[in-house]
Amino acid sequence: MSNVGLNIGLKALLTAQTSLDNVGHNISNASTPGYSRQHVLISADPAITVRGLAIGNGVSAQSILRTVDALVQRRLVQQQGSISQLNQRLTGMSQVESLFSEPSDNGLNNLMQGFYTSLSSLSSSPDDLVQRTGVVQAAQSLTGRLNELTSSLSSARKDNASAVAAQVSQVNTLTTQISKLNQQIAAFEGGGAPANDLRDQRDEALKSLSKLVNISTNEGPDGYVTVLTNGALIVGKTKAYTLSATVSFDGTVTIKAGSSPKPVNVSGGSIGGLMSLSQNFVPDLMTRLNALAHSLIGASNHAHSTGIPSAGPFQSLTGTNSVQDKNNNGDLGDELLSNAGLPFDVQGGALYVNMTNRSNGTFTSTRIDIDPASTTVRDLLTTLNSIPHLNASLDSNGRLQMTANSGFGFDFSSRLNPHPDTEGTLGGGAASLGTSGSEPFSLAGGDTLTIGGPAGAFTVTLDQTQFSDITKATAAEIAAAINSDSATATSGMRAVAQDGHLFLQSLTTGSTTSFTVNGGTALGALGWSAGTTATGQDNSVSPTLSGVYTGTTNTSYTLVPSMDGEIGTTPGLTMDVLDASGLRVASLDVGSGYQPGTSLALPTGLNISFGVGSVSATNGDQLTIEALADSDTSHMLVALGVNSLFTGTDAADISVNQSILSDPRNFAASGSGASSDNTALRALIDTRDLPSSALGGVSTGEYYGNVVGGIGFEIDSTSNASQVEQTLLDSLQSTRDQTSGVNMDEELVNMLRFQQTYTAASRYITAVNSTNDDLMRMI
Amino acid sequence: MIPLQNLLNSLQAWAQEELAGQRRMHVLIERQESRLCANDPDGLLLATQALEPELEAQAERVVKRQRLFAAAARHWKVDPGALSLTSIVERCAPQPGLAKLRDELRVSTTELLRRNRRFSALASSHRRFIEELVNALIESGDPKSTRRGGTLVDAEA
Repeated sequence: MSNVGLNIGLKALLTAQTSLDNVGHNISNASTPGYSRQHVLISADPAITVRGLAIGNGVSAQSILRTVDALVQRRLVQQQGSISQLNQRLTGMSQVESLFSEPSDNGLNNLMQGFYTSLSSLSSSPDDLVQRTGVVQAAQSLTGRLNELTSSLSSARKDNASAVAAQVSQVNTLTTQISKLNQQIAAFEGGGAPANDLRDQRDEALKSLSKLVNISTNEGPDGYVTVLTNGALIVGKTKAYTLSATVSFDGTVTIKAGSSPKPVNVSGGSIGGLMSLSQNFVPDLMTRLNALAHSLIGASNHAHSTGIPSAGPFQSLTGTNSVQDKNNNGDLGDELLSNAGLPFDVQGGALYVNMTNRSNGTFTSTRIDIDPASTTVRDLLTTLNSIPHLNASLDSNGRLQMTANSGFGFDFSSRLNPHPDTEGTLGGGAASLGTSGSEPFSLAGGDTLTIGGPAGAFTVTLDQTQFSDITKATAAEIAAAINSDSATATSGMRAVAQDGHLFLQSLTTGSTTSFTVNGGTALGALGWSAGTTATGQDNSVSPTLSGVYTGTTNTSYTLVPSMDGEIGTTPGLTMDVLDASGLRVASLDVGSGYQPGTSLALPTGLNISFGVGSVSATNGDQLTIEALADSDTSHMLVALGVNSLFTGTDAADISVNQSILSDPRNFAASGSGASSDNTALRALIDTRDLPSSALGGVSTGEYYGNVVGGIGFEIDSTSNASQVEQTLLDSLQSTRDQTSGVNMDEELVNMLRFQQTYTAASRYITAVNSTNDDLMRMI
Repeated sequence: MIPLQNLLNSLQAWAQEELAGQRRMHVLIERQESRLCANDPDGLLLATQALEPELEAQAERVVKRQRLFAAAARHWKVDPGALSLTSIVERCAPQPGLAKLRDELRVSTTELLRRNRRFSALASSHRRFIEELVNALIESGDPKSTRRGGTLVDAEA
């Protein structure tokens, strides 16, 4: 009996001690991160029977258990990953936002405005060297800021990528720790008791891991926990699998697990945030900034390339962009313009090249039609070289080089030619006969023309080999065929093509010069009748063009006399003005009463005057005037970097053209060559508000505003999401604390309550002792 | 004067009541021990408070026992203090029922006293530990002043 009593007492003492030790353990770890409150599982031992009496056998501690809600714990781990990812993104995006320094004096927006403001200032006195220097400096500030921004973004990307590598190292430390804890827990629990503190340590390690990467966990029946990130196993039952991160030169990060060659796309935790920053957010910004710079270069160069610098037309020019041998055959000439490796697209359109005779200021304009899908680099060079006094070639770097012969200069402006009738097809001094119809002409190989010319009769035979398709012959092909015929060479005549019409003309002028179309098989197709005679005149109508074309697209106007007659003399003589589609848009009265040399208004800002002389509707007199809003609709000059304001292709390499930096007078502000003209400059200013399809239909300013606004929006969205997630995390943490945390107040209140209870209990202990001591004496 | 057999019957009834009461107290003291070990102050207080009616009932049984012993003393004309349950059994003709109850009562009372003392020792030890913890928790921070811990006047001030 006494042994039993001693045993019960000892068990009770041990149990009480265990409980108190547990209280102490809980209190000691109240501030330990991740500690889960523990409780002692106590149960009454089975009663024993002594002399027929069932006597209680006391209590004993069965086990010490963690108070944990596994579901809350798991959600807490996942939530940590979400919030870490958002906070990392928020930090990174805020840093990137600060790089843009908007709004500030050094912000790109202000520098863009500064650039356009300097252009506006220059427009009032386009030849002012001080103002030109201001434009160059503003352009330099703008390009420098773009370069700096790109460099900063690139560094930010690499920094984030490097941070990924550093944090991957922390992941490996944690996964190794978790793996070791797995082993310890399994070994400890093999003895039958739960490994509470080790499990708390493992939970804490998992929580730390989830702050770095998004994880999913699974606990097996033997206490091991396996951990996966985006499907890749990083903690197995027996070991941890090392994550590795490789960062390429451009900042691309690749994460792999163990020896698996398959990349792991970590999307959560701070590494997920860093990956999102370095692989998406920053590169996307760089792409958008590059698009902005590309568009700025393209639009500005397009306006500038057709301008004329202070010194007037160019003597020589070299493009800044190189043609590339894309088909690797060692020949740059055979590359199609659509596939010549040029940084800006060549479009289907026309390029106008003006050649100026420096001795008298007259110039001729040549239209070059370009189809990038069929025009080769060699075709372009051949056409350029066919322009009198102009030489074009590629230099050793594949850049276009153009040089004018001495005494000549060239430019690409849309300036008006004040003397447009260079061929004398409208009342010129030479005898002239034009076709009433325009190309194509349906001829046949071997067709002939027999003409009685100033030097005698001759016959021209049309050679089929000189036509692409002689049944659809162009005026230019026919003129070339006639002019190349040996019979023409000595005939004192020539053929001219203009706006699809073919003209036969005498080489000499004057009223004594004439020729007659005598016959030939080609007459019918050309609409001429045998016996038609053309006679020259001593005067020349010589139309003179003035004004500024105010249209927004390229067009042409054709002047056709309403009858045969003399300017200013013949009653009822008018000059019909046809638009590009052949519709009459005006009729100019040049008959009796018209004073030769008086300007008459053409549509859209142009004026024309006519000198003394005769015009002939019968002989097909007419003149086509090109009215240009854009003299390079093919964007050929931008693609080749000819007469460019900016060099480079994106935000990283955009720069002001070195020739302009060296001498601001090379800035091409003029559209006509006159020093006071600011036409090209105004076109450049207009690019500020020009919508760009490459920028989604908005201007560069709006686009940049969207870029900066987009960053702010992303930050706001992420910040809001972070706050929501933080609230959820706080709620989960609160739930976890209520379940698993040590409540110091509660523990203290319990102990104070114990103290109160001892007083009551001691009274009863005394009473029980006293009463039963008496009883023992009575038994 | 109460006939002897009636007196013996009454004593047997008293002994049975006493045994039943002690069994209930055994349970309550065991519950006190269990609640103390489980750090359950509320449970301990409930178990302790439940002893109150048991002790009152036992006090009534003491009065009843004293009255029966006084009657027995008058029967044998001896001083009541000279009698015990054992001497009463020896003075009478064989009383196997009362003798058995006397033995059970002796075992039960001995165990009750032992358990009560054990709980007393346990509570005393528990009280010291709790005092230490309370002092540690609400002490002023001075390592030498642990014993002064719990002086809430300072904290309130």
